[in-house]
Amino acid sequence: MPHATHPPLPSLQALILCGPGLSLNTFTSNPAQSPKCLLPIANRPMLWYPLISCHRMGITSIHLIIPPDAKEALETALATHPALTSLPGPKPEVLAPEGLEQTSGTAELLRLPEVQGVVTRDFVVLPCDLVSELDGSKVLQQWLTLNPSSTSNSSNSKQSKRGGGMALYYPTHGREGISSESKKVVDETDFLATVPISLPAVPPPAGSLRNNVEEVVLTMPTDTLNDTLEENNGSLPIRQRLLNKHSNVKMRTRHRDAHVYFFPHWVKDFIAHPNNSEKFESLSEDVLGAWAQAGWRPSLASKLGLDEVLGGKRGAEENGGEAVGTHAAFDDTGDGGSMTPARFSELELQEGEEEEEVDVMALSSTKVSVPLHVKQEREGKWFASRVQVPATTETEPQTKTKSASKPVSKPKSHVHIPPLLAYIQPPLPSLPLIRRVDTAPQLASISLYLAKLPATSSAEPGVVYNALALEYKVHPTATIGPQSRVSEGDSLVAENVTIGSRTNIKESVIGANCEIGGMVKLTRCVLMEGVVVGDGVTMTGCIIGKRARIEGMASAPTSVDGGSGKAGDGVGDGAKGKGKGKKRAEDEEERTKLTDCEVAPFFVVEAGTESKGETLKGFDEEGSLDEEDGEDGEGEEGEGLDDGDGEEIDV
Amino acid sequence: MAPKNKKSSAASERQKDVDETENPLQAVVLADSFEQRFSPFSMERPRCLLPLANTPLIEYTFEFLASTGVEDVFVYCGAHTDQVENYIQQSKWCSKVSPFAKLEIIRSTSRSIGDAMRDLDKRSILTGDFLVVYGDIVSNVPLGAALAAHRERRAKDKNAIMTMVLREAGDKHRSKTQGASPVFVIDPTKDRCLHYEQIRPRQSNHFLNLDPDILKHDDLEIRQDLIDCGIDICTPDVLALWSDNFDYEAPRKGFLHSVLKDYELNGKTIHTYVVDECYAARVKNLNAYDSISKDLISRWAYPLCPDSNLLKDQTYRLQKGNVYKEEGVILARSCTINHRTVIGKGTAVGDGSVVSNSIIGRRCLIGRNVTIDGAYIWDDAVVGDGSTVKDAIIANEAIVGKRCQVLPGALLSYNVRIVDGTTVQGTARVTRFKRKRGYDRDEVAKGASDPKVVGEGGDGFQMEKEEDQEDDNMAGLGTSGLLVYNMGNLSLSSDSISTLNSDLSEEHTGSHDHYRASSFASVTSDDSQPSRGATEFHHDAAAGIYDSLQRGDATDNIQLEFNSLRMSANASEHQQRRAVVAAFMKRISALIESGSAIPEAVKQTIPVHRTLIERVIFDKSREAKDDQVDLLLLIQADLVHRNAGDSILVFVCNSLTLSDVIEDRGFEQWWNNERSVQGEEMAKVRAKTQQFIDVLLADEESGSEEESEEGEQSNDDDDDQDE
Repeated sequence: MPHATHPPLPSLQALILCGPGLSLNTFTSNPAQSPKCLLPIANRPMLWYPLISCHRMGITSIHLIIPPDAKEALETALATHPALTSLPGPKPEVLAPEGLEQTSGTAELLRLPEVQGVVTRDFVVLPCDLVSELDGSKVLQQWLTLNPSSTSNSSNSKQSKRGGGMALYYPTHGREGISSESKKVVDETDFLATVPISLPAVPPPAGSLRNNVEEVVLTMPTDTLNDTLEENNGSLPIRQRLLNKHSNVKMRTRHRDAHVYFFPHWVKDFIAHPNNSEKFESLSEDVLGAWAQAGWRPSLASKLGLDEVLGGKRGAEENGGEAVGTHAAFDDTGDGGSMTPARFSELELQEGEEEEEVDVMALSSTKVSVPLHVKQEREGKWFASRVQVPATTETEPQTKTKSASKPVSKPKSHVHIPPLLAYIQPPLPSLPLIRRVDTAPQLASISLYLAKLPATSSAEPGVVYNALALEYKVHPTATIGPQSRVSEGDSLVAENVTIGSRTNIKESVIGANCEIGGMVKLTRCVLMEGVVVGDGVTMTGCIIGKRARIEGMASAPTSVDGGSGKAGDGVGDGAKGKGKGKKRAEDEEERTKLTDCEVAPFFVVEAGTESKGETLKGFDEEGSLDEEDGEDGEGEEGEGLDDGDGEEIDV
Repeated sequence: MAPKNKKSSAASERQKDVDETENPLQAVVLADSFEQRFSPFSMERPRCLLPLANTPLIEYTFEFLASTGVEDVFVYCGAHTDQVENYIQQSKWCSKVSPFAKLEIIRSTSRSIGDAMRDLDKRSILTGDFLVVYGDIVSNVPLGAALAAHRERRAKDKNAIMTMVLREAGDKHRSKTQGASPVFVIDPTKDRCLHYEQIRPRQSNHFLNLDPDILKHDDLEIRQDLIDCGIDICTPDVLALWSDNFDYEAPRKGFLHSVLKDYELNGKTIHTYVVDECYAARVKNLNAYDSISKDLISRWAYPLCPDSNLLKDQTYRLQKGNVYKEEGVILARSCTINHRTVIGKGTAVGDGSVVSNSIIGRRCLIGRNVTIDGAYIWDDAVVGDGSTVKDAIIANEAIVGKRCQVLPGALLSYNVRIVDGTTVQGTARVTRFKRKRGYDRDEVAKGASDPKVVGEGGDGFQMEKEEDQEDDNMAGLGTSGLLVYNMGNLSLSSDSISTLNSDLSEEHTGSHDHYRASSFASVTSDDSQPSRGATEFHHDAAAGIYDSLQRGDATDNIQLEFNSLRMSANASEHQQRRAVVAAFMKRISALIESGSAIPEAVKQTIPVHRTLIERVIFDKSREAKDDQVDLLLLIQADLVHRNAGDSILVFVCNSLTLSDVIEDRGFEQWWNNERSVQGEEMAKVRAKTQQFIDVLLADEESGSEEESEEGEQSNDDDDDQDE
């Protein structure tokens, strides 16, 4: 797939965290076999999306961090899945640290010695469930320009010690079809408080994200917010210190953290600092939350050891030594930047600090200079009607002398806390989509959204295609029976799919190797790979796990108790691949009908089942058994259903 | 039906159009801000007539209103109404070329902005949407867009009752208030103000508590960088709300805060319109006076600047370096006029003098070798040879002698005379008049000169020393006013002072009761530091009872209302007594002021509502009559400030005895209580009651025997029955 890729930036590496996917447990109940990151979104493994984001940013050094038990599944997929093998550039590296459990927190993960050893430069953290149309390089560009210290020396690949971070927040509302308004399930959101950063004297060009980049001063998940509210008798206390330092605080309650973080190298040490090892569990909540607050709470900053981390006073021995040890074991990328062992980079950094930093802004001729119009020396403040007050007033000598009158800067901590910036996407439907897919409804709606994108194969020269668009709407290898209709505008059909006759597929995503019978009606459904759908099945809004089987009409299992073998003749469709047991019942009412259901992988839905809004899954983890001898497993698992079936058919 | 409907709706639309076009824009100017932050200057002249860059403040306000297309103006005056009226009648605003169709001055006895608004509601002169501004505003903000936004919102939603025009500023600017600064919580999608609070910048560890309801909005902005200059676009509903809530006093801390808090109840929304260009500021205090003067000279508020010559006879011209000179200025050849200076007509500056960063009025005499820097010298003042004036204000006709030093921060009021060779300290607030607290308004009387301040033979004295009645309050105000003016030299100690200052600022703007309340606190030690809640309770309760008394409500109803307040505030017994006493005494004084004789006034009040007082006394059965003593002490302390307080005290005591509210024993204990003779004032006010007490105690001696006998008898009876 052709994508505009940028020349690789030498000093950035990506960590993609492949978590367990707790909210998708219908499909990830066995994370070792089918980890969350391999669930298909629009017929591509979830992992493809963050990988492509990295490639679009020009990052080639990518580490996938995954618990050891799922490592094998991931590596197999990387080697075999066509979507993953077709990705350009060097292969991502799979890192499965020893101590990593499925339940480990994201900050704990970064503290693991293996991960610490791998991180040698500024790094980007991405979740495996990120689907982003946004060109990440735009965010990256903002991060680099707003943290001049990390760019000024980029030519000799020097890491920044004091650069700030950058996060990404997307709106959970304002987009039809995907937003939570239309769903029963409310999206998870984060509570976010930001302050504007000073605008440049020259307005940013159109399309720049600059106008939406703000500094984060407070962030927490909405759940935590609600807890805080309860603790404080139903009100949210905002420290006045915050308001003193920042006089215009914006708060948002319906945005969500995309979990994409651009971090300077020191954040690694910050997370691993002994003061924090107890406190930091989650990257988004604890680390970001603490960092955001440290900017305006000097006491907190020193409590978190930020002054040590940033000041570089802390001996590199303990951490560095450890890092070197692990480095030898894990670092064999052979990539230019990672050749420097951690200890050396540490030393290099300290040299870098002593180097005089050139304030490029001061040399700019377009910057507004502050006219000294009236006796500033007496008051040290002025009316800011037309004069831009520089945002970083602390660094100015003029205000520094007045620190007595300023409640903000404590003389104790000299360390300037680098800002935690964030690109906050406004809730406009015209903007590129950014979503985290961590619930089943999200999985469905994002898949269907991607299905609507025009395919890249229907080549019209000059048209710019969406970066996430698929090559084919209906893959050439798919066979579609006579009189069947697949609405190509909003559906996807993957490789080797067979579809029976007189089947109608609307707004659906059909995974690879699915077999769909005749007279099937699928509306707003997502079928993962290898799903078998029997004749006459009607499904609306369903998500079907891989290799599940939806029996249509009356199936004829070989087991004795079913007794459904006496169902009527099949209709002369003939287009069925594997329809040995599938026949058509005369009784129209016994058709399988599923509405808004989730079906677990390898699960078999008995013929005639009608359910709405349910999750159909096995009682135990016998999915793999199921696969081997389908009929038996099916008999065991679906006993309740079976009985009902038998009775009805007996009549 | 349908066509008819259409027609009528069309008609109503037309009607609406007519409304919009024909309703002239009205404005209310609150010329009296019910504050005293400009004392000593505001004692003799209203604040709105004080010169700002040699033009009276109210000119800027009128200029602003004229530029926004206001047609009817109502000027609300409290103190010094005559002066304001005279001034306005002579000004161009009453002439034929005035842009205003109507300019009316409303006299009122209002004591707070709340009173003024309620009074306005009663008069029902405002027909449509109107502007409310203060008489000390300097602004060139065009309001057209704000008015349009307000009307549009209003057309959609009747409950959008008010739009506040706020000016966005940076984190730091010189006209930012130093005391409490306002915090607006705004929903930017609807420009709706959701929460308002005032915070003190130095109390960093305090919290701003946000309601979860507020957090339900998708986007929020917490803004502390808005200059609130009190420009409000209101609908008549606002006045109705003021009237419904008789306890609102201040437009922000009272009205705005409560209306937002009671959104669930009344459903009214208040909106903001934030402008990010143009100039807007209020001359709230001397610090603001200083910075706004500088802004005017630096032309930030153009076209409002000295060379716009707002007054008919002004002839200022701008010269290099922001020097403005009127025609007829006499400058000695060797004097130096530095940058950012304004000099009025007829002023003479002598040889070798240096004037910089200063504003000098008309007909001033500046002697030789004088150094003036950062000073404001009003009309007809004289500065003698060799003197130095820095960062000070010298009012009209004040005379500074030769070789004097006026140190930064000093304020010299009208006609003050500083003798040659005197050094005026930076903390000095020299005046010739002192304020006497009358009930209805403050009276000003000439005080004796203090040679220590003005030198032997000078005229004037340090202000707060004479103002012993306002003890800590006035002192706090005074020092803070100065220190605020003196920002540069300010150290951390301003913490406590700014707190005092802001205590006095909006919440209790000049409210009489509050002064009383605080002076009680100093008299009765048991809660000498009343908590915020207590102060609020006192204020609400006293105001409530007073209003009821005024309306002549039944005692039971008053009691009911008082009880609910008492319970909600969890007020102590002492606080209840305090509130009751304050209301009763205020009522009695009001009756006396309105012409009734003292005995008549007392009779109308106390016996009628005696149960109210009885309900706050809980010690009838006890030996120590603490509650009764407390009550009497409160009454005594209250009457210290009232006219003829001593006489009132006699009648009140008499009335209390006759209605059996206070027992004889109670009087006795009060009389012997050391606190009732603490201080000269207290002793003075009870002097006349001596006779009454003597008679009472004599009675008691004879009476008590009988009483005790009766008591014994009844005891015996009881015993009998038991047996």
